[in-house]
Amino acid sequence: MTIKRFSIPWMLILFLFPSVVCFLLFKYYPLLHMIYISLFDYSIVNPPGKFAGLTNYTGILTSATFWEAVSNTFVFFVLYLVLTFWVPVIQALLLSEIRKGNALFRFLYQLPTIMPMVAGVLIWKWMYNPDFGLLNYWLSFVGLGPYLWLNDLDITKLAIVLPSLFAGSGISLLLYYSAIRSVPTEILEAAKVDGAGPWKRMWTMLLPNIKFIIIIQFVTFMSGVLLAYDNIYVMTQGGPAGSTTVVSMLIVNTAFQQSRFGVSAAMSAFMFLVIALLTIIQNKISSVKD
Amino acid sequence: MVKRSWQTTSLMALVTAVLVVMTACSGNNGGNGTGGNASSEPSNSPSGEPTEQASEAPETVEIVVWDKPHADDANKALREKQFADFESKYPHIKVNHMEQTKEKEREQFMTAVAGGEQPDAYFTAYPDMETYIAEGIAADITELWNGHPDKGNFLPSSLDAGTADGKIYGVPSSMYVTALMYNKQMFADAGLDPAVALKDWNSFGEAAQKLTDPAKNQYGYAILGMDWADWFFEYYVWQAGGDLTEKQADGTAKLTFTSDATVQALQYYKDLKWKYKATQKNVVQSLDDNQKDFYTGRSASTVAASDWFGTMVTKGMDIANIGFAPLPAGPSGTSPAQVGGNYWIINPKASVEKQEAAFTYAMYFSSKEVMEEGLQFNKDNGIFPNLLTVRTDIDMSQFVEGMPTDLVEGVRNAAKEPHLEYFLKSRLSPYIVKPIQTVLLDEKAEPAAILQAAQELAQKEVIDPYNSEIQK
Amino acid sequence: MKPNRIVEKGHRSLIITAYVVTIFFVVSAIIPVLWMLVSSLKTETDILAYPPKWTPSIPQSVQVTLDYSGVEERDALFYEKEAMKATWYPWMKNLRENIGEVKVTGVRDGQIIYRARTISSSFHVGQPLIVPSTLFNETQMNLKLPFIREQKLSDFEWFGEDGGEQASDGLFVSDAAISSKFQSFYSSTPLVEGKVTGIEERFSWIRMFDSYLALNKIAQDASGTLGFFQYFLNSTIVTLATVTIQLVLGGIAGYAISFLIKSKKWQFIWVMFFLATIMIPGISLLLPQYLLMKDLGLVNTLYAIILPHSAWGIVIFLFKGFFDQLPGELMQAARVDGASDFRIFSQIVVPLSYPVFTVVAVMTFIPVWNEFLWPLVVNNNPQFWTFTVALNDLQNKSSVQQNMVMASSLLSMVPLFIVFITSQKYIEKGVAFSGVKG
Repeated sequence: MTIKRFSIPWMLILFLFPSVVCFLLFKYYPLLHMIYISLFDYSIVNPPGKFAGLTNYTGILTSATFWEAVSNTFVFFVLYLVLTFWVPVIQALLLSEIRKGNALFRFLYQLPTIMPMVAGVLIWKWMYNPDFGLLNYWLSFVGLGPYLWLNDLDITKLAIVLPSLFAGSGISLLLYYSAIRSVPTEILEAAKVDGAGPWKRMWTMLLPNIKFIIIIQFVTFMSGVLLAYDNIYVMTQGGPAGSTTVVSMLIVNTAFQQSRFGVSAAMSAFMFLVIALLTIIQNKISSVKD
Repeated sequence: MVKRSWQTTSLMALVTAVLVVMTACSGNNGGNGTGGNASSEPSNSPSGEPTEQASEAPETVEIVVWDKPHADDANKALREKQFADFESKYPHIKVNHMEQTKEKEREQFMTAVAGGEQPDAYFTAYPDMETYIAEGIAADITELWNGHPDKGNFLPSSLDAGTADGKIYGVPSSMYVTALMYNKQMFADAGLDPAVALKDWNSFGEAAQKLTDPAKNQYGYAILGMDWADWFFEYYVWQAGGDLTEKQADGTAKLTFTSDATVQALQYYKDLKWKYKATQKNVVQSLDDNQKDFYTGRSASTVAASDWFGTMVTKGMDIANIGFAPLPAGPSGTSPAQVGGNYWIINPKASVEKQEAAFTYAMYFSSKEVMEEGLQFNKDNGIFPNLLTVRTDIDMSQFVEGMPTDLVEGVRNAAKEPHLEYFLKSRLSPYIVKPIQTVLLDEKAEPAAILQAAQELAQKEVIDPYNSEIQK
Repeated sequence: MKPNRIVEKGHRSLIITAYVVTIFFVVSAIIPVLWMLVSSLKTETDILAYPPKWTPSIPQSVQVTLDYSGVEERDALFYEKEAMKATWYPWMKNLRENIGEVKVTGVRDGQIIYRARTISSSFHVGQPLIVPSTLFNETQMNLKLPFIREQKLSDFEWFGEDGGEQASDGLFVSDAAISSKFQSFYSSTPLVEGKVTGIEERFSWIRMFDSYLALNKIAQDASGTLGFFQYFLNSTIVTLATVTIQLVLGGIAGYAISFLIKSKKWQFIWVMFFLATIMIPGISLLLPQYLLMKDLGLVNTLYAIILPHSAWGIVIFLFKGFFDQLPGELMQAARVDGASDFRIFSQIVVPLSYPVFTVVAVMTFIPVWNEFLWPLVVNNNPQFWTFTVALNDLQNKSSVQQNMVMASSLLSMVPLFIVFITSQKYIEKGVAFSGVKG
């Protein structure tokens, strides 16, 4: 027993080694480099420039612009969470009840996912357009609107999230659906015999079975939403009046528009810490529940 | 079943192995191979050609310039001819022309700079000069410039934006001036005389209101409210007799967001949107959309640069229909026009020989012969030219034959009172755009109050650190 | 439905809800896609129309007849220029009209002497170069004709001064919108010498698809000798290599964490080691990663795009989660039989895991295929561009119109389309994660 414990786990090393090397080289080394940059008043022409200690960090922490971006980021997070995150779960649960046309529905669900992001956002921008947009045109039939979707400080954030409600579910839906399909029919039959109705079976048998996927998806969802950039950039460039400027946008602008790479790196490090913290908390919560 | 999957797996393992090996190998080969042809590291050039060049007087210099024309560039043929001309005139300078994409070019350039791959000569717009000079991305070419026989033939004002503390950082290449572009037909249809309507802020506001007709899907003035809103807004501040910032004698910056001029200008923006209701509904639409609204005849007027006419007519606007006049004068009674344009900047990290070669290249493309050749090419090919030039020795009149004289005249008039963009724009932009967008979106916003808030924020986050840096 | 089956209480309501909700979401999801499809067939004017139109308007084929009776005889070159002027100039004047094609027929003394035809895709591709403005002059066409010929923008057929067939009678100048605009152009300029004897216009629905043809033409011009195939190949290499690396490296790493590490704590630590990387703002790694690639000498190679993808935390997390629920007894039995970990992984784990491998492959394929900024920054040599980079560049060309942007986006969906369809049957089997226990 003792001998076994101290023998070198060759297989473990062999299997983990390639990934560890890749992660260290392509993720952790650049991450450390980024943190290094954040400690300087970084000059891209004569790197690294003047050592700045933690001034970049204290600078952003006392910057109202930065905190506004942080608050925008979290408002987006809440909006995405409330409006979109649970949607594919419901879609998958209900889709699994459908026999006729199932494959077709599944296929149609995927279509927006494979649409290039830029084209997708452009289409939505057209639909929001106050002059020729489809959305206001339709809403006018039910007596609503017209709304200035991207011109109204109160609803611009919503206008950015809305497309994801209808078109953002592709891959997650696929995962959820797949997980539901794997629930053995015997278990469902047994529950049926026990007198559980179809609705109850859905909630008590199917939903718990995809819990793990929901957790995985939540982790990706969280970092994805908190770091979202492309769709917001194409839709509003952070405007109007800074109402959709999220931290990642500030990171890009600070670095590439203003050449303040040190400050930009400090913001990135901050976001990394925040998300890591949230993930650990989330992990703790979900493991407590177990 | 088991057998087949074993095969699958071994295949996968094999593929990985091959990939890993390929990766490992090319880590060296690929690097050297591409490094050699794509870039021009100082270490490469001497080893390449010493033997055959030894006898000739000037040693061959290889420079990289990001100026390869795009496939759809109407000037492509001309450019390629000029490249060849340059090579035959300066056989010892070998130029690698690289193509840049039209999107994310900023990210591409900055990472290249950081990676030591900055092109030896690079085409840069005025507003970027401030940052590039401060960052040391643009080389100090004062000596080269002063030693060049052609230097006296440039407009003195063409050097302004490329000069800092008396040192010159850019070779002037092109210039434009901004003014109000209006649709003559739409003005006529509304019974408006441009000379009267464009007199001052009031007359313009009323005219723009009159030009707005939702039934005809048209409106008076395409306002720039997206995240470059400060670009055209600054003109209104100038018209009111002020500016957004002041550069003090000691090089520090002072904010003037709360000055009367700025507040009046913002109030006027607010009036255009809410009092005269003369702007587009989507006030934050992109500049492209503003242009589109103009060339499709939806908007009757918009701020435009003198080098935009080409775009308007290429997109189908009738040239005879375009009017160009200084913006309506503001409370101060003046209407300065902003000048912008492009410089060639030289890579400060390049060797002296390369810098000289890159400078020679830039001066060649800003020379009388080459510029006139370009204008002649435009004329022959029906391309609407930029009516403003950085040189004093080019007579534009011979290239504008057949063009509407009032348009040519309009550009000349607009250029009478040139003005550079406000100081520290690259850092302050977001702070001033926010109040602009706020008044355009919120009818109840108070210009003075939100400018006060913006000024306080910008003072704390930009100006204080900047000034303490300068005074050190 | 089996007739003898007893319908449970609640079953019907569930099915109805399922259909209603699914149909609602599916319709909402495909409206943008349909709108994109329709927009790819529309003209700019159609796209901006209010109320929005679901059906594109049909382009017009304009047919112009020029009579040279009584005009001095000239060579074929003269007539070719005539035809080009008569086509390109008035078309440019009426750029925003929905013109599908322009046909010009030259007639002398009742005989057809030439025919020329230009379709809208050629016109829109060539327009910035051939007629960049409405400033037309006498000599301009001399400079432009070589380009028209070289890029085959207009067809011109010369029959000789008296070699052609009989011209049809009963020509007239139609008073339809485009025809009269053409007529007013011809009557206002001396640039075209032939006398206009007829202008007609007809619907030509086939020309609705010219946005796709135009795209093809621009792509050929833009990619030059490389051809768009090169970009497609680059993207394919990048995507397939990435997927392979992720499946293999992620698979074995997931296996190692799941089966070779016994301690729960260490499992968690390893998972977090990998997973933490997804919390780094990708954009902020742009500069450090570029500098790394430069140090490795990989700038301007495809490896620079592929290698960073070898480190995706979520992939290992997924594999680990899936492997955790595989029946441990199987593994145990194999181990007792003396099977090595390689054998267990390849002969037991992999066959049981096709669905999860498929899911990971699909999950990887889409973002890698669509990645834009990193490939552009790290490879500024067009030879190493991916399809997405090339497509973005294409969409920014001055001759590209909105409908072409839509058309190109639709086309770029095709490879992903195929991936989805082929992966369907594997996913259908279901991916069991920490399956329902007892």
